[in-house]
Amino acid sequence: MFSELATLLSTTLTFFSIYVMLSLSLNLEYGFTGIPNFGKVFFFSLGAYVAGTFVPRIMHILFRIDEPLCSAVASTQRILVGLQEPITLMIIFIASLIFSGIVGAIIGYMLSYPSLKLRGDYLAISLLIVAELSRVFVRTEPNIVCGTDGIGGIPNPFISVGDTLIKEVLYSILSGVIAYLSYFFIQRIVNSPYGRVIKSIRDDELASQLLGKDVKRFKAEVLMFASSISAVAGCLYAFFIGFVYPDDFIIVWTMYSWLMLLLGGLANNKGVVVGALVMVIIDRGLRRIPSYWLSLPFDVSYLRGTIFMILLLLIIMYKPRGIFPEKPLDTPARQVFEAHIKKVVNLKKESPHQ
Amino acid sequence: MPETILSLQEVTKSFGGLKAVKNVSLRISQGSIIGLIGPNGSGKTTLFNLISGVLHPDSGQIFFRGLRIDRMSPHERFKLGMCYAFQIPRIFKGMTVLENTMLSLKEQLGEKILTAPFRRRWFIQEIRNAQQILPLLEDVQLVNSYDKFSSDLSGGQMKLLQLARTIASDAKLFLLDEPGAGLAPSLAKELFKNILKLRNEKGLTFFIIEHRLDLLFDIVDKVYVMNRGEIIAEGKPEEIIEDPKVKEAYLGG
Ligand SMILES: Nc1ncnc2c1ncn2[C@@H]1O[C@H](COP(=O)(O)OP(=O)(O)O)[C@@H](O)[C@H]1O
Ligand SMILES: [Mg+2]
Repeated sequence: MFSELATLLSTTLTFFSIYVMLSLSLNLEYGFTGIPNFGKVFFFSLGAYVAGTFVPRIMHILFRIDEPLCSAVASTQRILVGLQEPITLMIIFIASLIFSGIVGAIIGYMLSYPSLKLRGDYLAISLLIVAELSRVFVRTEPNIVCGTDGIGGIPNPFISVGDTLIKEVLYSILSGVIAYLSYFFIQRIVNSPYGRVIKSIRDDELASQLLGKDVKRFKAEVLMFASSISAVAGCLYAFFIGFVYPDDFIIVWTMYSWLMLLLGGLANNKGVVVGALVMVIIDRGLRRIPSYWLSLPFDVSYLRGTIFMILLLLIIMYKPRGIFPEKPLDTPARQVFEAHIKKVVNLKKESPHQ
Repeated sequence: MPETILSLQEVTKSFGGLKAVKNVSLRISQGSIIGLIGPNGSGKTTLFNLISGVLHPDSGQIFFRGLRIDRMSPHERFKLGMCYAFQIPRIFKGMTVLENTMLSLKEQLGEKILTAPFRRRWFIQEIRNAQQILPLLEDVQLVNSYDKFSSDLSGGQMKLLQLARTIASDAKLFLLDEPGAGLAPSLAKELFKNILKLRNEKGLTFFIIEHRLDLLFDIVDKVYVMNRGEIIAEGKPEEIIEDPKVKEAYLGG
């Protein structure tokens, strides 16, 4: 009973971390900068593809595995080797994370060009198409992650601790730390003069340019940073489930990211984290409910989608700015004004006859 | 003779078949206040759009502080020292009054992505910048609303916020498109007095479109008059009022 609960909690924490990274990076892109990234899953999948291509190949070279990359035997061998070589495995894992971040940044930079030319709906639709086409491409191309079959045997970096529960707990803590770091840096970047600039780009791009802001540079940087975080999340996901399967990366991931964003509140990072928490609880929680508990006219797995739809409708109808609306940025300039106003009020109090 | 800050040579811009700006040449010297008047649709705003970089001319050249700028992007022109306040204020609605104003200060360390996360690197500059814009927001009576989202301001306040933001930019040349429109008469008067003061104290240059001629003529050194995309007259206010062409096109006989 205890171990079952602990497993549930650690799985939830891992997914929560991944959701937080996806929705926060989307918040940076759309909530703060106004770039409607409807291709979130594409940037997420990049990290998973990095894991799916890099990890098996490097393991085959380092540990002289001769079986064909995509075979089930090779997959098992990789797990076995991972059990015996914890340090090398950890290094490979960390390298994959870094690699994912770099690949995400490069592709994010490349896609910042169309995002300058295309506006609003057109950009959203284009990114949606990019995401879907890339999945179709990866699933038909056998040399990336073994086509439609996907590739397995990506060992959890903590596999050598033996105990499945401890392994999962350790991995979830690590994911949590990475998600927290993402949150921390996004909060820092946003609550600064930088945050002011990207918000101004969101509100009125031309006016922002007329105040000396190089919109092209800012958009490119935002897309690089946000894509990098999404790709790292994808890499974490791949190592968590131990498998990279192109058909996993369907539009649902994008929709979830948007739902968390709209639920929590545009341009409010704390709100978005709460949005992610709500989502992960519903998503993970409902998977645990055996169908015989509820007598539904449909499969219990449809219940999630139904609940999400209802949530989305309620939000759009009653709280269009999310549960937690946007707040002023927290920069030291506010304190100057706050102090000034207090001083003026005090002066008036001291000399009431003036 | 004072130095030229802005000059236009035969600048032309068409929208489809409509020549909104036709062969406009002018020269503005540093530290002057120049007026631009003309009937609605005569191309005044289009001319400002060409100078600031919102639009690029079809032909002709624009020089600012000795550099040819007509192919530069708006942000580069701003960095050279010009700032443009729109006829219909374009403020950032999802940002507070304070954020709107802080935005226009130049060379902020915290605007670089690699320094932004590290508060200590830009903290002092930020405090100084805030102290610098405080009197500007005091002038337009927006200090107490500093933390308000600017979408909650009235139309007049938005106009004032845009002005404060423009002045905060530390530019050398200000392009003000109908700054007095939409302001209460006493406020508009105050504003024009402030413009004169800024010029006299800091040697700043102002190029102003304005229909309120009573206010404008009190402070300008020179006025250009546009009609159908062309400059039809230029000179001191008293000369302009007497000009028969101007009377016919603008002043109504
Ligand atoms: N972006 C544009 N596209 C098409 N026509 C325009 C555009 N901007 C201005 N015009 C036209 O150019 C002419 C001059 O406009 P404008 O410069 O705004 O005049 P003013 O500011 O003197 O009232 C008008 O006929 C206007 O309709
Ligand atoms: Mg106009």
